[in-house]
Amino acid sequence: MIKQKLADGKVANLPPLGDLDDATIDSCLHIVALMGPEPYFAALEAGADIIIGGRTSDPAVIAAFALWKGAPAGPSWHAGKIAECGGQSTTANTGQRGLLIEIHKDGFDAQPPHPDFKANVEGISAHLLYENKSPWRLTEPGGELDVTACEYVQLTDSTVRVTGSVWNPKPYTMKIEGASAGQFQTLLIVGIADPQVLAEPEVFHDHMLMRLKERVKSAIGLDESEFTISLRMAGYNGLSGRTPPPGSKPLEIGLMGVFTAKTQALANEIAKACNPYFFHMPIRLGIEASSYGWAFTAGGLDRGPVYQFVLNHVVSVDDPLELVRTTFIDVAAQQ
Amino acid sequence: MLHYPVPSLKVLKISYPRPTSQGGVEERDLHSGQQYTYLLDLELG
Repeated sequence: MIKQKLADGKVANLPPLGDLDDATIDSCLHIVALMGPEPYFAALEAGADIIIGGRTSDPAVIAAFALWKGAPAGPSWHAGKIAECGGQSTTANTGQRGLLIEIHKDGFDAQPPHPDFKANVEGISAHLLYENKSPWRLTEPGGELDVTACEYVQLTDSTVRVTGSVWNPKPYTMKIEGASAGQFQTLLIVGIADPQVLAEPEVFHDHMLMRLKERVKSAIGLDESEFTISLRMAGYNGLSGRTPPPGSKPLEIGLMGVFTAKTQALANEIAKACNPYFFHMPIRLGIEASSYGWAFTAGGLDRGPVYQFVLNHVVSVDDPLELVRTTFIDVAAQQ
Repeated sequence: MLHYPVPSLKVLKISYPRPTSQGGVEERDLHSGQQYTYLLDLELG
């Protein structure tokens, strides 16, 4: 279905990804499209009491009932966005979250139902920064919410009134998401306090990586396209992957080797072949071998499958329900 | 890297794409939870 859409020129990329191709579509275990409110309108029209929806834009789920009832689009969508995380935009603590939204013809009011907590202008207006590229515009299926002209007023000490939210309809697109699998990982982890390694972690890293790759090629007979080795130095640059400021010297390094291959068995075999070097390799040839610090034996840890998001694309549809399936279940009749 | 000043909140929002596909073989910060730390020393004029 997605391949047909692609062939029809109805799939566009969202940067930084490039154009979609059939090979990427084939690699996905599963592809879902993000629904807007329209499938919910249809379910409500058909008399549903409870709707269990698949992947949907969070604001759309909340705005759906109001929009279905004819509430103005700008305030409804904006209210849906503010309420998507419950009381997060209020002074409520975790675990005591909830938000009451009242939508009027010109705007909406937001207030936490719990009497101890309050909505304030800063919290309510800040929520558009959350999980969104721009603080001013939010792209949704079928259009864009623009809050640039909004005014936020502290109506009571616990209620905020928002006016000026604008909904700009656009040609209907749905974002598609998909993950690929097919690779597996095994880990090796050692602690290192050897001062020669700590003095030049990147030299150590590059030497170790080169030795491990050579070892895998000679011991197992694989070529470089059949496996990946990634070394992460926790305590130095494991998180960033970048060179830290000059003079950075870690107290210790947690060296994690991530070995990736197309089966778990092969990833394990690769890690096992690498183990002696991972265990003993000094920073350069000719100096005494070290023994780095394992926390347990045996060293190899099956990490399991690699699930990677590979889609960041939108598909154009002629009708918001074109890609949606709805099943009605009469619970009473089933009993 | 995109910069969005929000004067009413005294906030500067900075958005940039992740360096690798989420969950891939080279993933270091799956939820981008620690990315904000690289911005803490930015001097705002």
